[in-house]
Amino acid sequence: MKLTHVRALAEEYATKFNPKNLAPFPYENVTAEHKDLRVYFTSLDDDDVSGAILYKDGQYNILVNNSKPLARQHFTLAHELGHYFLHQDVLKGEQAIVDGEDTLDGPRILYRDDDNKTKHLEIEANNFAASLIMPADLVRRAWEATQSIQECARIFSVSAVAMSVRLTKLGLIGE
Amino acid sequence: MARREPHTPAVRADVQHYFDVLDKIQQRNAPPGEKAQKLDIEQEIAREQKIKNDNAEQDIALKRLTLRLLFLFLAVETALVFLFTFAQALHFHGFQLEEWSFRTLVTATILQITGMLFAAVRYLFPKGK
Repeated sequence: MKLTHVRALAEEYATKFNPKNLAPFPYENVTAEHKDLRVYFTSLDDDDVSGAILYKDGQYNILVNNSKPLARQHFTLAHELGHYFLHQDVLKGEQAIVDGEDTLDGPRILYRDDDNKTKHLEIEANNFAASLIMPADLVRRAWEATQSIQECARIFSVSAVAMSVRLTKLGLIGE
Repeated sequence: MARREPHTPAVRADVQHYFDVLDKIQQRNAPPGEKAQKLDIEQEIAREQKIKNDNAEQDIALKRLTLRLLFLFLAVETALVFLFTFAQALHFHGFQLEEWSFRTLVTATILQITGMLFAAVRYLFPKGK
């Protein structure tokens, strides 16, 4: 799937499931409509892992490592939602996608060894997550109002790193 | 039972761990997810915009006050020098400065006024703002 299409899809979901533009993203609206999806914030006993999505008995289960900072948890959840919306076929086949600490920069894959495919899935999920919880229009307005990465990160309840990546991708700040 | 075919035993153990975590959560019947306090992004942006506008307004008000005080000071100083000049010219009540003292006073005052105006423009209205 083209990344432009992924981003457009994510913004569409953002409008649908977060009409009031709340942060962090109100995933409850997604689980209320998608009965085959459950979200759990729990300790995963592994500091290197941010989250995972598991397919079991016809249910998609998102596990978010609650020992991570809240900002990281919010992005991880959005990333896993990306896998849920984009990669159901893969999940049905492979049962699990486990995302490591470096989810934002690149995946640490525990399950698959097909690097190119994996990388592509994670890039799609990251782009989906960024567009879902940091819609371009809102980020532009927030940046115009604050001119501060920290403040923008606070407004969207994400980490400064995630926000700086988003601002860079939108061409609002330099590399 | 759904199919699970990890590539290596080490990887199998890693993935199985997460299914075990999921089983434990589901057995506990734990409520899915936790409720985080939500921020209204639109409101936050509006608040930040207001803070930015308030800062700008405060900045403008301070600059205006500084310039008013500066012009008041320069006006008083200029008036005093004019008075000195008239008194010097008319020898008012025997007022008489040394020629070089008078020239120095007038020159220094002109330089001071020019310098203060330059500084005001340079530092109160920097380029690019």
